[in-house]
Amino acid sequence: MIFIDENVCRLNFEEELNIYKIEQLKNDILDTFDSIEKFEVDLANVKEFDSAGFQFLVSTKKLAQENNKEFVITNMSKTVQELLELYNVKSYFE
Amino acid sequence: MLSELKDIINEFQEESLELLNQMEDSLLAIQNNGMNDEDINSVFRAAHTIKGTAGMFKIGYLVDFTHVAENLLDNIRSNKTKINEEIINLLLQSKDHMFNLINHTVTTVGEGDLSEDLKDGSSTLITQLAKYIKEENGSTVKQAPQKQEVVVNPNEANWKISLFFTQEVYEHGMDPAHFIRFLNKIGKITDINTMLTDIPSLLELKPTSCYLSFEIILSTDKSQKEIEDVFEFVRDDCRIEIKKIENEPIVLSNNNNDDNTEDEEKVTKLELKSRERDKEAQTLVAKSLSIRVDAEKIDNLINLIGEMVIANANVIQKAIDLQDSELLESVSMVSRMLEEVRESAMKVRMVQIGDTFNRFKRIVHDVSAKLGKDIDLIINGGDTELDKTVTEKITDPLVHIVRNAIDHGIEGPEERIKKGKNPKGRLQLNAYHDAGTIAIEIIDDGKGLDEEKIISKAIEKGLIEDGLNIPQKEVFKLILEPGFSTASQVTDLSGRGVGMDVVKRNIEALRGNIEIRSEKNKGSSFIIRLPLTLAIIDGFLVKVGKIFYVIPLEMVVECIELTEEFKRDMHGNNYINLRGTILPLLDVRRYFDEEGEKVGRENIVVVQYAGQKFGLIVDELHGEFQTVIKPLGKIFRDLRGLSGATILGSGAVALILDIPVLTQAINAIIYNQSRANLGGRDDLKTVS
Repeated sequence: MIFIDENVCRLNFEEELNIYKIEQLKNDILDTFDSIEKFEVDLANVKEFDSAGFQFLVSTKKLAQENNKEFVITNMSKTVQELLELYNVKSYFE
Repeated sequence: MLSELKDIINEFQEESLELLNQMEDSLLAIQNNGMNDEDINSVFRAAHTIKGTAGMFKIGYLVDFTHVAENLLDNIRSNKTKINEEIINLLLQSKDHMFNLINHTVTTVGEGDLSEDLKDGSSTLITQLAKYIKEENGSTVKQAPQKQEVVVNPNEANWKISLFFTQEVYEHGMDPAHFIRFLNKIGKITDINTMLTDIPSLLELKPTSCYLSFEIILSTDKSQKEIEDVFEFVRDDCRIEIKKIENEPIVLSNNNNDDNTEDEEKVTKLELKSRERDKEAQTLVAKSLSIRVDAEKIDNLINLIGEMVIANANVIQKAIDLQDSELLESVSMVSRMLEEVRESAMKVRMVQIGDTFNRFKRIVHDVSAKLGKDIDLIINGGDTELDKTVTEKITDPLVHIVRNAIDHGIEGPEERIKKGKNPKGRLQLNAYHDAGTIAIEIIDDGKGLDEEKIISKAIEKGLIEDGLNIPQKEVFKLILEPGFSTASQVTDLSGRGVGMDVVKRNIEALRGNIEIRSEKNKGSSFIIRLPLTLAIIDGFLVKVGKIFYVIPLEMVVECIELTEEFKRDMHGNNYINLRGTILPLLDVRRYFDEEGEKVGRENIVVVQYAGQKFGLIVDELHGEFQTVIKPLGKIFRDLRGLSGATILGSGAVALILDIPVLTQAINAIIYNQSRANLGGRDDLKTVS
């Protein structure tokens, strides 16, 4: 799910970005954080997306911004879009 | 003017005052936190209500004036006029003018014509207000790009719903998204603001905690109850506020766009502040239920309860004498309930000191503007409660100290920059409970008190002798002496030297005291301590010789026997070694010059006040005991060390020890003692 490729952290989520997955994700990212210069997040395959998952994205973006690293969402599945539109926060990730 | 007004003129005044204060608070809030719907509506509503009441009683001049202010406020809240610093100041002035008009109404009972001054005041302000009403503000509106005009159907209404979820909501198996989606089923969400500011960065993120809150505008034809029911299952994990909005275009400023970062901070600061204010997880807020009560009625009630406490002590005494266990049980049940009644009654008179602190916002605003200083006012512990009368009496001293801090303490921006300080000065008001007292702190980061200047001024005025080495604490206390002021310039605000001693007297009249700390160029702190309870006291009863004394229970730490061993180790001094620390002692018998020899065992009651501990030497210990403080008569006015008296169950009189005063006495004794030891002067008395 996470791979680091030339200092770019690619998060290609398969299916679940929800409360169950976040602890692991958080640790993975923090472990390798120093070598990451940029986050590219591909959410095209995310079928399960809840508020915890949404928080996680915001939280990671904040961490990236604090350290002057780019954070970009390249793709969104319908499920992700629906929640972001419900919360009216799409612009935060643009 | 209708005759009905005469009857309710007092209520009219009280209500109007409250509304005016609300106007002021909301205007200042807008100034500090930026424009927002809640505050501007609050200002509008206040003006609107005053106009309505004035109209009802046909008070023409008040209607005319308030009408103009109301028009401007309406323009502002529907975005036809953009609010700015000048308009806020103008509205504050208008509020002051309305206050004057209302006072005029009250004093003339609505009959009198306006004075020339008031008429001029009205017309000047009306002209200025009108200017803003005609103007269409051309600058770009810094509002959220999402604006929706809501069409209001007869059954449909707009509701503003604020949701504050607790951190545990995910752990309890719920997701805010479910409930918000459901809202879309019973109506249409026309605008939603998701607050992301509480979400920490990934390092601090607890994956299973919720950090989200929302503000939602919902257009629906459902009732408030039906909206509330949507959140039934999440009630315990969410604080919900639902407000119906009257017909106007609704806009929530979108705080997630980077373009609007300034608004973002201001809006979210507002939400965070209101979250801090409500500590308990309240459910739904419709209206606050309260009734207006005559203060006199409460005083009577409390007096009666006080007398009951004394009478009850009598009953307890008799029950003990009769040694009837069933009776004793009944009696203690009654005593317990009496205690609860007493506490509840006391609470009725408690008000939050925050109300007083809020008045200072205006003072800081006006005075800083006048002097060209930039000062931040920070308030902590506004929800600390104290008795209503204490609150009223402490306001003047506080105002005085705050004015001093702004006038003499905090420097102007250029001077501050030269000193390497933040050009914005900082004035902090703190209130908190501390060992049976309430502490109020006024802390500034100004230039501090000049110790040398104070000493030389004191010598000049003959207050102290030259060459004495006085501890810093005492030096600062000198400024509380009458006629004392080191201000080189007298301004109309302060500097005349008639302020601080009045402050001291007012505080002492409340059985409180004031401590002053300061560091040159860093700032000063004024700490006022006041007792929490005025009338009824939980005490510890002791006997010295033939006399009973009561020590406030909250200040008692422990009791120990003054054994022969202790006495030997004292070597005639007035302190003992208590588990490794030095405990100064005050011999109550000596202090009050009682006759009689010491017979039998002596005991020490260890007390603590304002961080200091010392021991009182007494004969007998009689245990915990609750009673009403009766003031000592005028003849005892200058007696230091007693704060009142009370009547015991047996009918005997007990004297209540004033621990703060005794603390000062002990400090003086220690100070003199150490001087004596250093200078070899044995003409000074020692207490042993």
